[in-house]
Amino acid sequence: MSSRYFNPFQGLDIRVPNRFREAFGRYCQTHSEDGAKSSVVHSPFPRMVDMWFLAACLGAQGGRPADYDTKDTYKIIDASILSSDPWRIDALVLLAIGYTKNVEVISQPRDVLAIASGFAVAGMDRLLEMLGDGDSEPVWNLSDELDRLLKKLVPAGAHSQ
Amino acid sequence: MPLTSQRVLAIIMEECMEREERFPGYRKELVATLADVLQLERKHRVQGTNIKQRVSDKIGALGRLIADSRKKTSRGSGL
Amino acid sequence: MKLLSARFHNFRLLRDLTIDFSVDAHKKLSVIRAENETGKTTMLAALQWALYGDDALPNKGEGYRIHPIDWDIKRSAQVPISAQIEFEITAPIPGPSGATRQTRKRYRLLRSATETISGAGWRRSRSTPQLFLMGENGDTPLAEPEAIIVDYLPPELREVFFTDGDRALSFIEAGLSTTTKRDRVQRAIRALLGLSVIESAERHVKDASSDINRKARAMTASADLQKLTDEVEETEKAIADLEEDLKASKEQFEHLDEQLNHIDKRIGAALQKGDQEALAKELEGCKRRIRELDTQLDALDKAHSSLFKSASLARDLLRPTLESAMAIMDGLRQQGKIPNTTIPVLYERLEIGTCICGGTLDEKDPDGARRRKYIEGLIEQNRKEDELQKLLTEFYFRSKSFVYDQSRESMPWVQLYSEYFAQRTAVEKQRESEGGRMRAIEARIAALGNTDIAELRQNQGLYRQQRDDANRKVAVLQNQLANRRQHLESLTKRRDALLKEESKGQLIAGQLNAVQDVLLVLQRSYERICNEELKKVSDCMNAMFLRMIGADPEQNAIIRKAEISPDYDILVYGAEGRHLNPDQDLNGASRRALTLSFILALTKVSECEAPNIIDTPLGMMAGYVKREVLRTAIQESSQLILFLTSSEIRDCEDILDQYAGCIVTLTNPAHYPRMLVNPPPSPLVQILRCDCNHRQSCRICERRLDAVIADAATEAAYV
Repeated sequence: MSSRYFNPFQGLDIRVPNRFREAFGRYCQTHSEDGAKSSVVHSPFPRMVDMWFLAACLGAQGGRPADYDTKDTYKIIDASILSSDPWRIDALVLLAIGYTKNVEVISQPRDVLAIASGFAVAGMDRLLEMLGDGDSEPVWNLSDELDRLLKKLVPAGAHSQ
Repeated sequence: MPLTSQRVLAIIMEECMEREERFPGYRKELVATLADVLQLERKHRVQGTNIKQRVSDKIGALGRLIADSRKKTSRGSGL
Repeated sequence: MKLLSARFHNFRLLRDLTIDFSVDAHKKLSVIRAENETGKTTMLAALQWALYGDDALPNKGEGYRIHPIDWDIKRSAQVPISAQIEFEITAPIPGPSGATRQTRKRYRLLRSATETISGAGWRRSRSTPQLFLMGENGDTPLAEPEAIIVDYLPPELREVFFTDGDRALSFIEAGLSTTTKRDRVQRAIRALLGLSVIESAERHVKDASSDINRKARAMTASADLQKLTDEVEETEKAIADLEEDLKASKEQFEHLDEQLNHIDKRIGAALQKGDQEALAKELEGCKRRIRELDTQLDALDKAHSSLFKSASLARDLLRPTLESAMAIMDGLRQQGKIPNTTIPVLYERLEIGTCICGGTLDEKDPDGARRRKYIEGLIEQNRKEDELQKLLTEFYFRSKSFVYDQSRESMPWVQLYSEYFAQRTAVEKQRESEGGRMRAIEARIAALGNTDIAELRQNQGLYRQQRDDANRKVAVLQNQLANRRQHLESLTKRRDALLKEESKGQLIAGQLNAVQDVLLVLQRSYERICNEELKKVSDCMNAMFLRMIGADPEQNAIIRKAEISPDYDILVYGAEGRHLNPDQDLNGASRRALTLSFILALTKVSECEAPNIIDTPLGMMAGYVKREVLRTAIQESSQLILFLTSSEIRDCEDILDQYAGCIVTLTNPAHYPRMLVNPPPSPLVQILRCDCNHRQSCRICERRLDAVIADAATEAAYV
């Protein structure tokens, strides 16, 4: 692996609009300021980056990143966190290439992150809907919605070739 | 006859007949002694009496009869 | 003995009441018809008080008021109270040539007492009985009235001859311990069969024997005789002591046996609910499994959480985008831009000095130099693009393995989720099941209460050991007793032989023979009465009982037999000799019938002539059983006096028509107007008597129900 791709996002931040502050607080297990442990059923995501990444994946369904005021944002975590799951880095780069149709974006981690954040913002509302919809707890609501969604997107029997 | 002594006496009488006839009429005397003893007992239940002495006297009297009959027998046989 | 009449004066509600009883041999039944709260129990108490005094009253008279509750203290603070009974005694007198004739004597017993009322309290004087022999020329007072009464109606037989129907069950009822019931049965049997008298006689005769032995010792006799007499006396004393010890040991054995049975039952009941120790272990195991399952559930929670950050999820959601990006890079690969091999080829050409087109790359040649400069320019250009190519090359191959991952981790997310869900459901189901199990065990432990089976078993062991020890002791004592008796017999023979040789000794010998015979007769009579007479009472009771309840063992009746065991237990058996519990397996009517059979059987076997006075014997009975109980009681009793309510009389009217020589009705005026039709003739609180029989009513006794029935009958007559 290239040393550059070991941590291309070093020094960058993952930021999200302020209006999602409460949502990240509620649905992520590691949010709490006082360090209190949340239960999985109400806070399905181990870390905020997990919620942000899933939002980006959902946002990618729409094909376009969201427009948002980058000044009205707050930092949820250092982007270097993405190296804890290296495949995510590759996924985000592919997402950026797929969106820009230009492979040169690979050398622009700042642009890659900006595109990913745009998709994350686009997908957050959808994600919050999935978490809140249903009679059950957020973890089960989300699981059921994803199950339904993926069954539509990926027909039974289909698999990566 | 008062309560139950009829039945009890009947049984006592039968048992007396099983005893040795120490002298002629002994069994009859034995029955009479026992009837007297039971009568004394019943009376004693209602009012305190010198029951021990009285019973002892009754038995003593019977014993005397036995002794006397033996004396007669030994005299008669020239002993 | 037969009761002729009774008269009561100022005995509670019985202010001035006379009752006659039937002595007709063919109409043995006297009926006192009285509803509830009409003085039945009071009259029963009054009769017993007349005969036995305060000891026969509830609580032996302590705190039991006899004077009427509404006594006018202004008239006098001292209330004269009396109860009088006239009775007759028939006795056979032997006549000449073995014939016997019956003599009949009539007596009047009067018991009096005074209660002095003081404020809210009262004090009763000692009651005094007077007995008179009734004759044509007047009544002759007799000394020692109590001695005569006790002879004909011993106080220990009160419960047998005076029976309160509700309390009659005391010989068999559940709430009492086995020992108490046995004691009651034993006392009744012993009293009626005269056993206590014989026992007492035996004791006194043994005392007389000791005296005679002492006399024998006191004689100036040979040393041998002295020694023998001493030894006889010692042996007799030892035998008496052993007999006492044996009796005590047997009682202790029975007591311990009963305790052991009781504990066995408790352990059995507790084990049905569950063994506390075993349950505690089970609970602990259950809790441990629950903890393990909870840990699994925690792990499953984490796994659930991880599902949302899985590569499969990203892959499945981003599939179109990923494939589109890969297609772009595949294109680059096809174009040869991935991986980049241009620079090495160009370097090689420069080294060779010949271009790919074949032209020279020599610097000295102007074309060659131009071409060399071009190639160097290409190399420079490519070097700049190399960094990107490198990135792309590495990225391409790496992302290809991500996008087209064939490993298990690449399984579609829905499948991963489905597997997770199945696993979680299974664990949750187990958890729920274990939770339910835990609650059930806890409930069982709670239901055990404080029953500690381990402790019970420990006590069981102790009692068993003690009981077995007591049993062994009984056997040892019996053995010792047998040996001693044998030894005594041998000593006695030797002593008598020696005594005969002494003239003075002959009297003693005679007395010793006499006491021996008397003692033996008493002992053997006692044994016979216990064995034979008890068996007779048992058989008689059984016959009467089965007749009363209409049970025919030959016809597969449920109840087959009742008996009194040698231990004085009243036992009932069903089919195949199975033991029936009177409290649980017999209905109320059968239980009463059983008790009445016992009482009547005792009376019959003892051959004593005494009245049976029973208060409400037919309660809880109906139909066949009621009629048969009444019939049997009439047949088996020498004089039967019954206190009956209207409902007891119902359906037995014809039997009363046939066998009742006297019937009176008692009425409590306080029942007006709720139950009585007519107002009472006097304001005094007292029981009134009229001569109405079971088919009549009058102004005094007419009850509201009777009036309704009479009206209905009148109406029917006019229809």
